Amino acid sequence: MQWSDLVANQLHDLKNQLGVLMQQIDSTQAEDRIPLQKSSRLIHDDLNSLLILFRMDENSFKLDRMDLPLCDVPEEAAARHEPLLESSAIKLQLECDPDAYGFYDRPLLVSVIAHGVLNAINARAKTIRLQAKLEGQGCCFCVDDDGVGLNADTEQSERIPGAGVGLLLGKEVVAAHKRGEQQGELTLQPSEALGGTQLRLWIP
Amino acid sequence: MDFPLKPYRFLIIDDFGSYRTSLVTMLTEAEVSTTQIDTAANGDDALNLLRENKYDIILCDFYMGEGKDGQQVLEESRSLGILGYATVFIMITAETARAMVLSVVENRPDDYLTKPFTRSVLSTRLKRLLAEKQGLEVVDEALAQKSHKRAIHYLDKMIEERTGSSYELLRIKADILEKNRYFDDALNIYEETLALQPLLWAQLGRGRILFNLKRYEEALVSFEAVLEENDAHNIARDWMARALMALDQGEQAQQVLQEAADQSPRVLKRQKLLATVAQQNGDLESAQRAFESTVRLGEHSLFREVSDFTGLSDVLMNQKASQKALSVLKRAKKSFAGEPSALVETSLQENAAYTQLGKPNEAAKALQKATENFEKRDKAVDADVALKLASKLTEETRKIEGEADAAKGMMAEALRQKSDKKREQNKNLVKGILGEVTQQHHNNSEIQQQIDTLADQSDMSDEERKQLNSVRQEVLNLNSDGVSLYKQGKVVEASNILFEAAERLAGNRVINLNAAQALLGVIIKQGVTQELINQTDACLSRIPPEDHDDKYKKLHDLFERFVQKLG
Repeated sequence: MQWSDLVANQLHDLKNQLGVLMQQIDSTQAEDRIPLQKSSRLIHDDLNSLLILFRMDENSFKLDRMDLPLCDVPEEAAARHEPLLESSAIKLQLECDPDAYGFYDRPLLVSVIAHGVLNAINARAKTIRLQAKLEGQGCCFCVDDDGVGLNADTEQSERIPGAGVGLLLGKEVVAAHKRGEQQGELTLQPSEALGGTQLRLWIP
Repeated sequence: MDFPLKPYRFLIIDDFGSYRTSLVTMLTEAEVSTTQIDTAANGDDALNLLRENKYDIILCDFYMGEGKDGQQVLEESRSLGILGYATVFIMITAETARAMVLSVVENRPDDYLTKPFTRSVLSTRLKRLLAEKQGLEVVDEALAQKSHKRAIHYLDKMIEERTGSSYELLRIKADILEKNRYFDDALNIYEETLALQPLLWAQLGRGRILFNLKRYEEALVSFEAVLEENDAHNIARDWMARALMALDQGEQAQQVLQEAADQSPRVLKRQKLLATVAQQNGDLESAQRAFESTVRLGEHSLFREVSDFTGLSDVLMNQKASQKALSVLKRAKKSFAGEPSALVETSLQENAAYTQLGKPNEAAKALQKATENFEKRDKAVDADVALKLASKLTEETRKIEGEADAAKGMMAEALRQKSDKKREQNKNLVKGILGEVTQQHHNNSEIQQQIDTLADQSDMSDEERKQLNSVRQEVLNLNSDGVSLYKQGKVVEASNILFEAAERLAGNRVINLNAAQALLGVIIKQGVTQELINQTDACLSRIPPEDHDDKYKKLHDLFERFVQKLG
């Protein structure tokens, strides 16, 4: 066995153990569970990023695209953070067309959107909107929030350790979705709908 | 957002006891009672449970150590007809081995889950899948009663009424139409779907239909389109190879299949196809490798065939590796013990291998064994195998005659006596085999020609030829008697003659189809009874799918209508 395999396995184990821990935290009714819920999710998110980066570095990174309903992405990302959204009394709006199908790598896109939701929570959002729809010759996933917004520079930098990595990785993952000449795009901009930030993914 | 799982019946299939327990715990926490959950530790147990029970949701692990893997459980239960469209089948995979190659299989599960997953992810996924499957129970029931017309009718109603996505319903409808060889209707669904969204199942389905309609060039366009979207879609490669074969481009076909097999080797059908194509191309080395994989993959599979082994032994013998061929055949005999019909072929191959090794006594014994197996046959032996046996026996007769003629001196007379006896025996056997094949395929001119050639070679007397002809004539007479009675309106008499003949000549397509027609005539005249339905069903079920022509379809439609009336 190679050292690199060992590292990857170790990362998997860590992530899975943390997953169990997260479930335990989520199921307690302790008053002060919110910070624990948050930080455990941040670590989980980081571990996930590390694993993907690791695969990219190893050249074992391949997309696993299938034709699936677009709804799966926002629904699963929401399910991942549901206990935290509930305990923090954050309102979640889900908007997706049940008839829309896309050809995409579900686990990867779910982790990008879930990362976006986590960012929104950290930007002290009270409302988060998740959208999935067909757009142009592809499909589009958005996370809108009413949080502090992009220009709150100082706060943003203290908000998420390693936020840059998550975003960079998201860009890579989205751009890996290609079709003909086109490739996926990830953008971050002020949210017109809710006033905070909008994370927008488009894949051909 | 938690979705109530309480009303559903679950089957959990996993070889790890602790994992089964943790899944059961997850479900009981979602208020599913343990009486609603069955578990199986391996594929065979799972298939047994599926035979006895109906489940709403199946959670099946992909990797299960020894025995069948999850994909085999899925394919075999679908092919056995014990897994309906209404059941949600979720394949569970390990995170380290991502779905990748798993997702492009002919029989796709309804969805995948990656270990470990939380209850909320499970219930989110199930919520959508159960909504898609809602109401499909009636479709499964109709299909269980062999009424695809009614199944289609229900689907149409559901598609019209559904407010959410109807792609899953369209996919199922196209699947049923395709299986029953209503190619034009299925093609319409695939093309209409493609006009809305470029979904891969629709593109692949379009290609399959065009292939079946022998529009190979157009089919290739569809398969290429699938591969352009998803380069890992090896099922599209398999079909592409079939189309290339049909276009006489064997080399390209092999190349495409090899690529598919390199990327995704654990598919029995693919390896078998590759082996056959390579053999035809004269690439014995590749053929051998692919046949070896086929045999290995067939070990725990319902889809294993004796030709997996005999194909391999054939390739080995072509490379003069007869000893190796014999050991393959030994494995085949073990694997198909208790199936004499299958063993006719292995014994014939053993005969060829021993002949190649220059061991005439063993060869003769193997031929003897082939004959014994033929006489003990548990089901009709394929015409080509039966004729090969007849041809080998004829060959043997000639050889014995030659030896007896050449013999001189003291032993000559004894040898001649022995040879006469053997010759008589073999001739009778050949006569029996040719008669049997004639009965089953009386209107297949290609087979009848082969029978005539064999009759020539075995020096059949005029008397014997007459006998053989009378066998053919008897079937022809039976059929024409039945048909003319039917035309005179004597449907009961017609059905009596034809049904009796159909029971005896199970492999005869014409007789079985006409018997079904006469039985339906009786139903029209005298009303429907369970017995008449069963008899008609028996006749129609004996027609293999590739022979479902317009006449068959017309009769089947009529049959369905009466089934519905009865039930």
